Amino acid sequence: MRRSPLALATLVLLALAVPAVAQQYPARPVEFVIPFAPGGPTDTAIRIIQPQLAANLGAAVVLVNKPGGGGAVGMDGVAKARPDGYTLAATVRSTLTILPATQPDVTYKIADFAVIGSYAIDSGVILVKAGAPWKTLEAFVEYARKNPGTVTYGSAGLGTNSYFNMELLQQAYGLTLSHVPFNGSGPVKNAILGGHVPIGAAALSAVLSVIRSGDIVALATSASKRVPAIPGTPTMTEKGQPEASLSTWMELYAPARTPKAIVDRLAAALEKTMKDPAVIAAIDKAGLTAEYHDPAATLRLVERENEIVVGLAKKLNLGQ
Amino acid sequence: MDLVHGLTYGLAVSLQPGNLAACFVGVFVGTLIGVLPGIGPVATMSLLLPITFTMSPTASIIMMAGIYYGAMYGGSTTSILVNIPGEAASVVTCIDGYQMARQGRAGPALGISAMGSFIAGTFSVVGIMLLAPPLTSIALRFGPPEIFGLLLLGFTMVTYLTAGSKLKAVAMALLGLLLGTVGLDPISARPRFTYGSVTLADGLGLVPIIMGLFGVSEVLLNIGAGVEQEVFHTRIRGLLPSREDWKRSAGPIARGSVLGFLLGILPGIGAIIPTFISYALEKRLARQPERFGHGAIEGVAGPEAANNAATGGSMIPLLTIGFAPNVVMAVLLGAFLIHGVQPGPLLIKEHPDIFWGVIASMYVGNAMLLILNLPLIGLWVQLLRVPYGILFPLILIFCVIGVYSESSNVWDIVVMLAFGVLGLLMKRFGFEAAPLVLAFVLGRMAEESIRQALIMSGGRFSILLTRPLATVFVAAALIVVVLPVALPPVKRLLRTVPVD
Repeated sequence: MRRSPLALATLVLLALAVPAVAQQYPARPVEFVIPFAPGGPTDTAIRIIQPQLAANLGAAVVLVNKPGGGGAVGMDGVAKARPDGYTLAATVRSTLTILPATQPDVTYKIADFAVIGSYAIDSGVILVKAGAPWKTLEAFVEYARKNPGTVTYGSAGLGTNSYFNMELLQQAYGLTLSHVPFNGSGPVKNAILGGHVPIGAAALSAVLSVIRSGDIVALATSASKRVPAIPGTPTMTEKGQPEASLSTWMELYAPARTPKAIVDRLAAALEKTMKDPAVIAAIDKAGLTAEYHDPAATLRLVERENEIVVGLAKKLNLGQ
Repeated sequence: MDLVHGLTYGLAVSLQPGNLAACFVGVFVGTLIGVLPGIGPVATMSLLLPITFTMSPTASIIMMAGIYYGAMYGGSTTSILVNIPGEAASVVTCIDGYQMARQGRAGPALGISAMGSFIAGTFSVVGIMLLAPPLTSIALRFGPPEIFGLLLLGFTMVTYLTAGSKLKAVAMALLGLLLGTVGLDPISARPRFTYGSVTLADGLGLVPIIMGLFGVSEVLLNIGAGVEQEVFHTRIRGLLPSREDWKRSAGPIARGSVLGFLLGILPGIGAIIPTFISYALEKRLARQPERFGHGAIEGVAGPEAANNAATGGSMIPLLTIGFAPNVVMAVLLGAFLIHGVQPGPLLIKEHPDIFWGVIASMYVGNAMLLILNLPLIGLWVQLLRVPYGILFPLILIFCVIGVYSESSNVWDIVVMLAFGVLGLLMKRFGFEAAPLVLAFVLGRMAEESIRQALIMSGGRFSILLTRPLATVFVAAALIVVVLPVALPPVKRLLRTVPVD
């Protein structure tokens, strides 16, 4: 009995302490780990929203590039970081879906992270060189059906969205293509322009200039709606294959046990940032599409994508 | 807009006060980080990226480009004075530059690399202007088979990179090839020699390896050898190259400029490989190849010209097709994108101020660098007089900071230190690091390109013989390897023809 006031006091203190942490947060600069080298779309996207995000958060936002293992090194570091809201990840969704599914050495999983939200999309596009015999995806599909196993395609590498998009395409239409992996979207663009592969997939931001100049033609995009930058290109959803393509989603994550109040605070700052017309315009200018989803909606999308990816990876015997 | 019109317009743009200031800041910062070992242009440019938000797109690209070619000027300084590459592309400069410094000829070595860089830099700017559109389409013809052929030719240069035993050079090259296999298989993405570590999935980093083999090992060697600072007490005479130096360097600078520029255009080549090839080429052409490795000024002039010309060359794919051929250009691409400017075929039409302004600023920047560097040579030489006891710990600190800033990964520091110890052992037993580094750089790319080529051809090696460009490279590689062995009489004949 004598202990109960003390226990009560402890409980009260604890109850007070949790919101207090959130109220004080952020008390110092918040660090976002970008699990890629500087210069790519993930890096560009977070650097675009960095100033507004910092203003809405009321703290400096420090960006740290931690490349390695296709994004696994940086994400592994964040998964194991102290869940205090000061070490976060500015990444792409595939580092939580494709990477663990294809790389046996990657041990983290979606549950190791708390979702803050998604804010921009780099659409996947299926590309052919201008003047190629196929003006539409259907025409290419017909050609590939007649020539099984002899048509090659280029991707940005085995663990990338572009590879999964081409494999999903083959699965959806019953095609057999030979995969020539390149080291990133830029080299894929080059290989298509040079005629070294007849078709390929890449991220839109890397190829927008050559689509606009008319040197490369996009046959389809992975986005659910038509992409403002290339309104003439149909989507895979229009082709009746909404789940046969993946987009590169720019998303923010915290380590799993980060207090909910802190995650909410971050999500609110991101949501406010993404309501700023100047930020949206800047993202669109860089060849990306601004699209905000709150933590719950983002998590649903991530889990659905993960099912598709894990299923395909198993079928292709990846990550064994 | 024709060339003259474009250039005068560009000069007008680049001489606007804001742009001129951006250019100066860029080349100055570039030289500084070039001198500091380990801290390279990639880390610097990405750190400065947010600053460019508030600048005009033209000024920010001018500044970013200035950092890159400025670093090429600065990088040679550390190579020559302390045998540690200030920047990865100055690795080869260590070989003869440092020997020149030991012989009290640090001044001419620094002078020739500054002037060689200026000539090559200016050459590559003219090259960009004249050749950007046609060269882009040639670069596009470099598919996997052509790249493999080129790399094969690169491999034949390995034994020229040593002043000592050819057998040891080949052994080091093989070690370099093996080290290059660490990481994910470039085609199937299965881990190799990663021992369950995600950090090793990308393989060993080039920068930690270079910093370890050249930087850390030099520091360790000097600790072991005790302080012998004999060079530092002798007065360094003749900061400027003599007429004899110029005579020897003219050819290497000219060849290095052309070579660096052309190779720089090709995807994935960067500024490092041209320096290796330039060095090998000069040694091959030299009348007394045995002087190489013992302070031959040609071995400084050629590679230094090559790396500067390569920076210009690598801008071509970025400006004309929006493709970043190396990491530095990827950061520059990021700087473009942040301002909503898509570099590519439309750049000249949509943003003539940026296109011509940046090109003209490279003329201006190269002139600035020459003015900046010639008087500073005296200052850099003062570095020689800093006692080793102070200089080397400082260098070690800079190496650690530099390697860490590249990837924010402590593991890279461990790799650097391990290669420092390996480099020490190699130096002790007369093994040279340059063949290892070259094979490491080429090996991974060669594996990737030959396997891509074989997928393209359905598994037939004949793809190397059915594509003209690839065939030329493979044939050239075969000739370089087979000819001296198979036709010793021809070789003897060739050797006896030149005078002395």
